[in-house]
Amino acid sequence: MKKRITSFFSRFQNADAAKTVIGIIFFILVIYPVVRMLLFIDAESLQNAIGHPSFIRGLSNSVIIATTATLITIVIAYALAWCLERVDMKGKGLFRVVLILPMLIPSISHGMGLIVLFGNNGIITNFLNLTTSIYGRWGVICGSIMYAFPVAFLMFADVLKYEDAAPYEAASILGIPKHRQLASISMPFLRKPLISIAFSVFTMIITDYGVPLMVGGNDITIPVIMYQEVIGQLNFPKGAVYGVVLLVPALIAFVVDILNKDHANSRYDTRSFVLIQKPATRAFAYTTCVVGSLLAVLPIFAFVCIGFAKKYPIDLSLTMANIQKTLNMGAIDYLLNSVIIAIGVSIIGTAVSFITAYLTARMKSQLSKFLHLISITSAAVPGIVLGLAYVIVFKGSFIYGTLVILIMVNVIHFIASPYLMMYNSMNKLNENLEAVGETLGIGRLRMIMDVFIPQVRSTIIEMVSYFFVNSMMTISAVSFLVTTRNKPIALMINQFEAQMQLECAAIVSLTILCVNLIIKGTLQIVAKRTSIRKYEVNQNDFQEAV
Amino acid sequence: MKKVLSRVLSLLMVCAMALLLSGCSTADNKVIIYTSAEDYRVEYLTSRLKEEFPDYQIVIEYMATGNHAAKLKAEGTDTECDITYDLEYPYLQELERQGILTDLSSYDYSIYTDNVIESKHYLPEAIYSASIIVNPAVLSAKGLEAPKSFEDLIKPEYKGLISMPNPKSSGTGFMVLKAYANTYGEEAAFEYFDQLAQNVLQFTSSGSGPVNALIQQEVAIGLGMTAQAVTAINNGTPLDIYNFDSGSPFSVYGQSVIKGKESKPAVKAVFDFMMNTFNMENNARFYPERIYKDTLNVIENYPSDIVYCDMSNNTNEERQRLLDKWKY
Amino acid sequence: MNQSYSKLEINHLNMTYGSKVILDDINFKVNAGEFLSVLGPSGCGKTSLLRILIGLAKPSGGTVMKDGVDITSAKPMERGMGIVFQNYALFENMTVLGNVEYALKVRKVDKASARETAMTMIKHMGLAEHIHKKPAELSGGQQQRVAIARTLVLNPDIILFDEPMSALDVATRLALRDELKDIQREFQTTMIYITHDQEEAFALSDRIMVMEEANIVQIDTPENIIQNPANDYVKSFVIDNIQRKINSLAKYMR
Repeated sequence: MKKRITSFFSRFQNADAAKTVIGIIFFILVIYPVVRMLLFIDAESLQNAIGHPSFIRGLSNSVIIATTATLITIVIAYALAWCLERVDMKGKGLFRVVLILPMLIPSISHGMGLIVLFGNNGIITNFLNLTTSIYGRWGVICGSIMYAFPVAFLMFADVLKYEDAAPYEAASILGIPKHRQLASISMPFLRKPLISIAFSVFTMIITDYGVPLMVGGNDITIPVIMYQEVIGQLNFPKGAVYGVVLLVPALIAFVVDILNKDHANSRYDTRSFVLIQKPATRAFAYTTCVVGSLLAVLPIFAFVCIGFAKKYPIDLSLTMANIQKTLNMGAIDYLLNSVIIAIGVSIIGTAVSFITAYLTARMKSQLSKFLHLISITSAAVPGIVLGLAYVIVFKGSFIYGTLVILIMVNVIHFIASPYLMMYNSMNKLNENLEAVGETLGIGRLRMIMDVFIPQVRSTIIEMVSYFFVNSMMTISAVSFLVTTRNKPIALMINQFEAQMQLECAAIVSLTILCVNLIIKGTLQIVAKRTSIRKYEVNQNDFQEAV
Repeated sequence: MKKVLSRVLSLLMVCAMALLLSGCSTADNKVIIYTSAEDYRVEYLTSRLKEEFPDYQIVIEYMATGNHAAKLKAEGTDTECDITYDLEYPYLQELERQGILTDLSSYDYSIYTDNVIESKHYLPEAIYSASIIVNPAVLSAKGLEAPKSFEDLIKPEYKGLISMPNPKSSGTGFMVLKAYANTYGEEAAFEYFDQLAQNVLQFTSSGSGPVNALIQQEVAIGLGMTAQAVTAINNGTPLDIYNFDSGSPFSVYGQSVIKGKESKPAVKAVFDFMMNTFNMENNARFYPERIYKDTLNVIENYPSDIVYCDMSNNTNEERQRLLDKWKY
Repeated sequence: MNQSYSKLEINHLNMTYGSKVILDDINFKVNAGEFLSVLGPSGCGKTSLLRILIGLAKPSGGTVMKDGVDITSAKPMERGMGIVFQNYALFENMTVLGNVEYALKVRKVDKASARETAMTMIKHMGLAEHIHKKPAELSGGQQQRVAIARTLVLNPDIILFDEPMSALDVATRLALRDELKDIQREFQTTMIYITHDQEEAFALSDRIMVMEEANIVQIDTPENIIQNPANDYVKSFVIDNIQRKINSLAKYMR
């Protein structure tokens, strides 16, 4: 029997070779470094780290702050999402844009914004003659909410968008009162997404060092101790101990998310809600959104205030001196670094997630499940922990100190979400497309180029945008890995933080915001132009498909 | 549309690759300086180097003292850094012992006063001293008197009004801790700082944090660098400086070249310029405390009556030992 | 074409998956121009049979002969067969024209003649006015015609259908049935139609093949199946179900 080999793909029906290779790469870049980091811990550093009086304090601060901030974030995010998805009002588009602005700047900027606004000499402190201090737990909680709520808001908006109105209509017809509907329909429906959202927000907050470093005052948290140990003392073994501590909540969140997966995600034919038009509800929703939006733009307003003022708060006349000062410190080079990193991460990250998602969603086999699992494992490793692990593994290698290693660490750090976006999109495409291709004599590669890529184009654009924006603003995985040669602009803020140079930090934050807005805006326009309505896939649906 | 998209994409890719590679190359005229100097001094150094060496590509990377030293210690001679500038003596001692500093015997040591000379591997550059710095406007708004001693600082009325650098990352912060420990004993020191922490709004990562926080009126009192406060005063911010009545903490800061880097002509040229010209200017502009035998600089508003306290036994081991006990 | 061979002849076809028997010694013949329905509940092996016929799956044993030629291990595209899937699996990003001419273009037919062939086919299928529409803008019936046109443009002499109408509403299904018959008459293609809907099988087929758990229970004309069900299974699964439907309607038609 003569077998003709026409393409690489037909040779490996399940592409098991490709899956194995990608799986091994993920293993080397995610699990291996973390294991190496664990091996770095010795008894002495364990004793030093855990036994130190600051450890218990840091741990309890971390837990209290993250729990409180998560609860408040969820309430605020849900309220805003509900208003925008269920109530009929004007200006929704604007609200949606404004409410996600905080997502486009680094966490440390939010801490900075709080100091400028509510610090002892803050704009608002002076304006309202406040006497309470923003430094300490409540400051960290406020900053964390600022930083985390857009993510929770997007996730809730997504959940609410796809909720089915039919059960409510049925209940209303049956005369079940509103509060009972809430308990018997809304809550059960929300339970799973709520758990997912709560855990991702909690992880995001508890592993962040930016906000507490800035406004923590004496209430330091575990990530701050880790940051000081590693950045300040280069004490890797001790840092690794704290890294393990931070790995715990992230791992729990990851496992919960997997166990919590929604098996019934085929809710295609849902009835959409009739938007509420009651004047009272509308007024409430409008107020909520206006207040939320104002709070969201407040830090940006603060940055403009101090960034362009001669000497905040003494002399508020307009000046370009802070821009000049920031430029003198090499801001242009660092910005260029950031942009190259962001472009590199976008291209490589998107390509890798696309290929991986294609292999797991469209060429299902036993190996696909393993590949699927390992490609989302990086979501269980907090950025600073991944960063420390990379320092330990790659220090002294030829890629250390180059942009390549930062691109690599960011791709790995951020890949889980975009991968899942693509995985979901791929799964939603007709399952027989490959069979059609085969019977029509169209090779897999042709099908990918001509049929799959065009159909998931809006998801691809979304992935690119996600990778770009996050690489631009991240201060977590990269912070331990940089040298002067490859430093991204966001890390200039850390340096300014050390010296309390708020003005330059404001300029840098605004720069990052502008670049991100331009890229996100452009990509959104491109996406709108080319989207095929039927295949638009929603953002941030992490819980949908793990 | 598709064609345009793919063309743009491939163009971006080519650009990215080119930039990635260019980022990897090290040019002959590139000099990297690690420094822990305050922002205004970095600014001054940057502008002077630009004037003097317009063709050179000079990167000045600021790091808090602790971070600066730890990074060099960890990286050894493999570091990208060519010149370490404004590092505290105990840290330089440590780097010398590690053998990563160049022999500087060829430079003229005779111009310096004897008290700032201790090794042929590094040269002095400034004497830092710390003091209690106060923003009188903020303080009087609260109706409070200025604190003048360690004792005053722990009074409850100053709660949340004090900024101090974290000894873990800042040389200035450690200076204050060490001064107290030397004067009153180690045990008393940690008890004292536990009390002081109650009043501290935030321990800043860098020694220049407190004065900047004072300028921004975030705090009323800073335990900070005297020289930085003087510069702020001379730039128009009204601050008051009080020397600790138990004597002023101080520390000598110096610079050196990383071993092996001295053979690069650009590095040598820049370091020579710093030794022969820049440090004198720095001494005259910012840090008047005497390090040159033949020069006595006076800077307006710089306290003339500084009495230094005992800063003996300021070694790196001692520092490590004390810092392991530090909680904040 | 050699008249002494059947269009399609399936001999001793077996398929196992692990220890599970999917197809158990299947034998049947299909005549040229015939409309054969394969009727059975889900899990009876009918979809696996279809995938083997088109070449998307390999049998564990047995042969598939087409016009007397053994095509058991031929590639799908070499078999001269077309297939229409459930929900059609059209290329949503391409226009009607794009869908129909794509396979031709990939086969390196020159552009002009590919377009001409595709246009002829589209006109033939009555889709001329929709030529630049995307599938999402078409009705279910129009989508089915595009799916059929997409396969017909490659000149297959057998078209397989994998429950193409199972996701559609009743009215559309009734309309589509008629269209299918028209198309068959027009193009003289042999059609093999997989379904679990008894009524659909009876409305469309020249012959019906009833399957149960990996086996063929009966293969005959609709009349004969009604009159002489091979066993109780055929009687209950096929005839009783249809009877029930008729009764439920008859109630209102009195």
